Amino acid sequence: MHLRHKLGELIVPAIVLLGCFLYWWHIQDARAVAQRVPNYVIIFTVAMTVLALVRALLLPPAPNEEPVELPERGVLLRRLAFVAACFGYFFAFSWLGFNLANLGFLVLACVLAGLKLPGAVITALASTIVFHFLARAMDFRVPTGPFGF
Amino acid sequence: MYDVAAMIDGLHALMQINVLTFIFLGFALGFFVGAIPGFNDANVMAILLPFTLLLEPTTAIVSMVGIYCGAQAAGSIPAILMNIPGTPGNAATTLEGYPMARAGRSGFALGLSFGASSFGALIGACLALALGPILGLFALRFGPAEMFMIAVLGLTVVSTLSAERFANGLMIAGFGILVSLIGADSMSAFPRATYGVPQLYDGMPLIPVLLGLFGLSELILLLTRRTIADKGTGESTGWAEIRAGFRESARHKVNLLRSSVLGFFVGVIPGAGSTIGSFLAYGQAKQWSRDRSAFGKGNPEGLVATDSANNATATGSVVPMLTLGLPGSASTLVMLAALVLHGVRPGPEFFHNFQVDAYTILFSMFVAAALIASLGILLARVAQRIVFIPNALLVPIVAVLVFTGAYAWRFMAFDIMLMVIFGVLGVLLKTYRYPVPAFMLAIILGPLLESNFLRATRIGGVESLLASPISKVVAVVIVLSLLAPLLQMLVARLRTRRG
Repeated sequence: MHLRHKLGELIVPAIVLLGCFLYWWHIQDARAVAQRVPNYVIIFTVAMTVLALVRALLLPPAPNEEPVELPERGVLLRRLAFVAACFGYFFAFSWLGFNLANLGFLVLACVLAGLKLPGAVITALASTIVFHFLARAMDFRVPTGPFGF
Repeated sequence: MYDVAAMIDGLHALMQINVLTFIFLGFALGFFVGAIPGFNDANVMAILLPFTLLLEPTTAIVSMVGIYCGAQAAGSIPAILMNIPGTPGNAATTLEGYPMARAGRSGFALGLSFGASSFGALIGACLALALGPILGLFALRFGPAEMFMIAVLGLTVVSTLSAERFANGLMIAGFGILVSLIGADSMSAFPRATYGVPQLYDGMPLIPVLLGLFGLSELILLLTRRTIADKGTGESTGWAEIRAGFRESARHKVNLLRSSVLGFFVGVIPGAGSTIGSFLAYGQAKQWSRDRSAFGKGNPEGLVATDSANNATATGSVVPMLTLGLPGSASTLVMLAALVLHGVRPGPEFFHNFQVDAYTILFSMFVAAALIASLGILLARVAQRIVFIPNALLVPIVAVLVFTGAYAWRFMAFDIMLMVIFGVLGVLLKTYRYPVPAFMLAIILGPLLESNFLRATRIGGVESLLASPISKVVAVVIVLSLLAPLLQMLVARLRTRRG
């Protein structure tokens, strides 16, 4: 198997093991009753992770098992940029307010998804107005930006 | 136990034009809300609660039944078309519904879903009417040990969802339980694994996690595709496909009946909820199926099982709310609040003290089932066009909708970031073929599992978990559920040898 595939197989088990460690580390000062079930679950999860790793790295794949399809470089970069835009939305939502965050995110996301800039701006503007009225109709307490909207 | 005169009075009260109008309005509102990912029925019911005080108690509660049933049925629309469950109960719908939509059979999937949903709601209503007064007494016998066993039964479904890579499924389920146990523990209030983040003190919020794992992760993957559907055109999924799907649902009689009855009884157990009901039904459908390999690729059997069970669970969960005063979900909690505000106090004496009101509520579920089959089908025709909208427009707009849905759950901007984190995790899990539903189910069952385990063992030690006859029966079902795939494999091998 290709090295990138092998390394990829390690990502999820690594996240799980890190999560287990961080959880275990944080509950060391807790009372026994608060540790009881999490400790059982951590032992079980680590054991299953070891089994999964042994299977992924040492054993050959099952005959009917389809190989993992990894995205091409260009696709991966666009997805990463979209994820960055999503994290950016969280900060913009708190600092610039609901409407400006929507406008900025929609323009960026539309361009990343393949629309040209003029089309992206028109789509973003129209959608932002619709979301503004939707939030008002549903009585959501959305944050407002420094300009009062 | 059954008062025919009260039943007739209840039916008469329901047939008033104003009562029927409010069921219809409630259903339409619930349908609209359920079709938008993240905007759940409980939120809308809570917002409308003060307005229901202007109505008669019966009218108020049946309009809420309408919202509830409409949202449960419509939640399958985004689950099928976009892989985003409209309500938590529709998470299992994505397993078969979305692959069907991607294969250009969205109309067929929606017809199948609404056919199964209306049947599930109908069976649920029949069972609620027939068994409601009896089940109220039976549900009183469910203690912590029994609830723990039910949670374990739910987790055994994990094994059937990830049969090919068993350890991966169990690993991710274990991690899901651990994630669900973040926050203050119920016994000592120690903030476990919160690392000083106050927003996590109350535990892991379900809606942002659900929207991230199912919704945002799919949007990230869809970003570079032209449309959701790989095949088909707008014309190829018209009325004929929807009708074909609706008719197809009627062909799975045994599956429909088994899933609906299972879903109803899961709904009757306080706190179990429609997510567990639909996943259990999916697991059972897969175990009993002759072609297990077709599951996960758009198998009608799986979709029929999840959607009939989901709607039967929704009707079933009204029974403990009425007979015990125990709401099984946020939606039934709001219903309970509405009843109490109107001076109608649910409990074991409810069917004795408020007989006419009780039967009116139960009969209103039949009306809701009919609305799913009629109004649902009409609206599905419009909804299915979504799979042919270019992703360049759809992905950014739905992403903002999902952000808003995550925020609207608790009105906390933190939940948006949490959803993005779980969205990225969802992409990794999907890319490397880990069972996302197993992770989600574990997150839902984790707190139930822990609290009931601690309560049960504190009273009578570990042996108390298997002390009651109910626990023993559930334990047998757990063992059978785990052994069923093995037995099926052995039978198939024997048949091959004989053949």
